[in-house]
Amino acid sequence: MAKTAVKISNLTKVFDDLVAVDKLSLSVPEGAIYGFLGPNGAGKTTTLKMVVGMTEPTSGEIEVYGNKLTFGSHKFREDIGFLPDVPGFYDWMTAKEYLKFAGSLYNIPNTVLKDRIRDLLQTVGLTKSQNKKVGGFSRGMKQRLGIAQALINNPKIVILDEPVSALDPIGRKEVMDIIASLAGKVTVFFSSHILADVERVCDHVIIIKDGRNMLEDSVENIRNLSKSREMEMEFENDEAKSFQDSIKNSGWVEKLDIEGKKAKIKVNDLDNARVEINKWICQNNIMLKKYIVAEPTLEDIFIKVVNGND
Amino acid sequence: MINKAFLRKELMEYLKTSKFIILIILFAFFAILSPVLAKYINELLKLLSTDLAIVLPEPTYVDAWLQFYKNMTSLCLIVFMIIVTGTVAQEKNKGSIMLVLTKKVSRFDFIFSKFLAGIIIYTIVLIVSLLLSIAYTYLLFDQFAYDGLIISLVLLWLMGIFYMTLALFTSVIAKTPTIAALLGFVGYALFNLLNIANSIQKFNPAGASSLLNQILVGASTNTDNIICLIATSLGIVVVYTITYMIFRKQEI
Repeated sequence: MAKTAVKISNLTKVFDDLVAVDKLSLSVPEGAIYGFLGPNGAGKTTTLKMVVGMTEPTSGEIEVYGNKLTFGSHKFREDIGFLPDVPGFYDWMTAKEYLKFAGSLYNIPNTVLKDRIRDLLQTVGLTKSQNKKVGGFSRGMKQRLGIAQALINNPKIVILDEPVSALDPIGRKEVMDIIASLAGKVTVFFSSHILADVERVCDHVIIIKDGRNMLEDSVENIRNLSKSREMEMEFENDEAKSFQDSIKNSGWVEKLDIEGKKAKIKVNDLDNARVEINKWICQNNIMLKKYIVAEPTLEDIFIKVVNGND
Repeated sequence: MINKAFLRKELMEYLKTSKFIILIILFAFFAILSPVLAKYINELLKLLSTDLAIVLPEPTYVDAWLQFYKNMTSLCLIVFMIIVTGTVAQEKNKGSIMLVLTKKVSRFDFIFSKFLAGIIIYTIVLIVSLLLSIAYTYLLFDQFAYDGLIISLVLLWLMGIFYMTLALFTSVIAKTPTIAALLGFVGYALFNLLNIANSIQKFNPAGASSLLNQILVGASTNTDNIICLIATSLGIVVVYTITYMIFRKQEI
């Protein structure tokens, strides 16, 4: 069984009379790429700030590899690399100088640091811009430099707060590719509301709303949780109408659209639907061109969880 | 043990941005201007008012020092304070503080490096301006030394550090660099106002600005000087401690 890299238990943060994080508990398995999802204002940034020691929890506990974190202490900082949603750099430094500065804060020997900076600049695609002042960088370049500085200390855990939210599609893809490339090397704990990206790279996710845990599991298990699926069929001949008549009164049909020889069905009980549809196909000697059961997307699940229905 | 890498970055920031250049030019300009103005102020006034017969005493090196202290404790110090007021507030505003504090830099390291860098920069610009002022005073008046010069310089240095600490305090409590600068200026004005009352002047951490003139004309006692020196040192310690205590608990 994989070790737990980050464990949060009953974490609560109250600002005046606003409960930003409400008894949140989660476990990030070692080596996972863990997506932290939630609508705007759900408490994602506040939670991550508490994990990196920038904000003091009202109550609850945070553990990194079994070691309890306390606000104000800078123990276990070697284990964590962090990238905030809007990383701020010193504009007068070049990318290379910034990474050297970041590494020197951990007292990394110069000989080790030199090689690491070269490798990281290559990983994030900033080798050509290494001697340019950060002040002249685009947002995408700053975000890539932000990832490099989060990895400078060879951390066990990398925490990224909305790493792609402010980027254009190309910048987003570049940054997500870098995150995906970290799989198996470090534990990545990152927040986002761009679900397609999360779905592509994450193996575990948590969905929070109003600071509360709504759903936490592996992406695979979460997909299987949803009983509601979409099916698509295309008939060889004009059997779509008789298909409609035969299933329209079935309890598992949520929605049915017929267009020419094509049928789109939303079902709430996939197993029953498949048995009955297959039976009808065999009994009536139906020839099919296409028969697809679509996988539920994380977006479908996210919307259902956040809106409070399944 | 202080994080040397962060202190190095602080000092480099003064050098790589225009902050150090601004300070050194400003301090040097007023250091040279003070004795020059003291020497030629009578001629200037006569030139400006040709209709009036103005009788003014012959300027001496004392006038040069009076000008020097006035300039160093007003405009030069205010500009230095404004620069320091941005030091933490700007990092919070830009978000660069978060990348530093999530690394192996404690909050003590962070604030103490800012404090130490401020002292180092202020000491350098003060020494340069002092040497320039002494050179020009000697050149124009053939004399520069007076009884109490050393204690005056120590008081001037300490008062500068006190105001720098006050600027660091406003930088920590303010949300933006502009508010920090405004608060810093208000703090400067308030501590200067305390100097109006002669009885509390020597107990004021910023009392040196008035005491320097009294030392220069021999109107201050050693006891007063020592009390002021202790008050200023205590002021630095108290303001720095409060600053750190607030920063230690501050949520970023």
